[in-house]
Amino acid sequence: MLPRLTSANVAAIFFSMPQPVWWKSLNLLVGQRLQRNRHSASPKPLTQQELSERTESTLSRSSIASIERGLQGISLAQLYALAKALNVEPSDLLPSGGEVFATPKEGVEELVRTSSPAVATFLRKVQGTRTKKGGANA
Amino acid sequence: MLSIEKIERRARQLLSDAKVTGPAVDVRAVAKFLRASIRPVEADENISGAIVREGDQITIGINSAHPITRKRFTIAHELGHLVLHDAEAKVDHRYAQAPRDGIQLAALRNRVSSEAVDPREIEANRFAASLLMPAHFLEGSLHSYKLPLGDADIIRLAREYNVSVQAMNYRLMNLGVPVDVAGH
Repeated sequence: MLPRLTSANVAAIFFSMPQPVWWKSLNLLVGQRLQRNRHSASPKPLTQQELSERTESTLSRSSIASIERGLQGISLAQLYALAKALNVEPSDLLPSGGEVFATPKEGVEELVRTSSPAVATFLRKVQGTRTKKGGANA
Repeated sequence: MLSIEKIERRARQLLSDAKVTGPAVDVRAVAKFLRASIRPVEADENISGAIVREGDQITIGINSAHPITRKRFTIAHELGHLVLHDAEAKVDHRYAQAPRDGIQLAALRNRVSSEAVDPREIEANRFAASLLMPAHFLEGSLHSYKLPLGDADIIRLAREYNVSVQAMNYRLMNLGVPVDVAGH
């Protein structure tokens, strides 16, 4: 039997993963702020597990870990839940537009640097044996 | 966001410049015309392709394991990035395993996807569809078909244009070509 069409795989056929270059840095910057605020929580720093519990378990410990590493974005509601749990303003968890959009242009090296190992390997293969900038053969 | 008309015009102009006169569109010839070389590369299933531009060298990488129709669409999509966005480097993914050709046409027909949110991806996909299935080629092809088109017609058209049935289906839907969905 052939696989069933769902809206998700219909989309998959025609559309590629949407990802403006600054999305990655946005998630990472939010994650870094979250971690900073967790570490500076008073009276004492919170563990990821404690923070998770304080969000009334709307966010699991592993979600918080992913968010802090910039691997996962958060919803508006989650932003407020995290701010409430940390007893800070939601805006304390948000990076400025300047920080977010200041990401370098998506050159090859930048892309390789910020991509998953699989994508980075793919890009290297696409580049082939061509010498890199500053390569030894010059 | 570029208008659909503008994207269609750019694709049509490119075909005419590259001297492509009918289906199936020789997408490699178009790439060659733009001085982009194609490099099939082994890659994870979820990686479709990439375009890498370094100096005057333009390379389009495609997943060597993907079916030919998928590869053609990827090349056309990457050419879209090249023509429309002047991309320096770009990797394109897809989320999931694509279903095989020739199934559940009616289910697909009624679905309009709003999942792609990056305007450049939407534009590149529109460009790819316009390049591989130009409206003016389809107009010619459709003379020998009775409207509304049935599933068998769409499968035949997909073969003629060397695109996936899904892509053809979607394109016809977007061009407003009457398609018979009764009986499904």
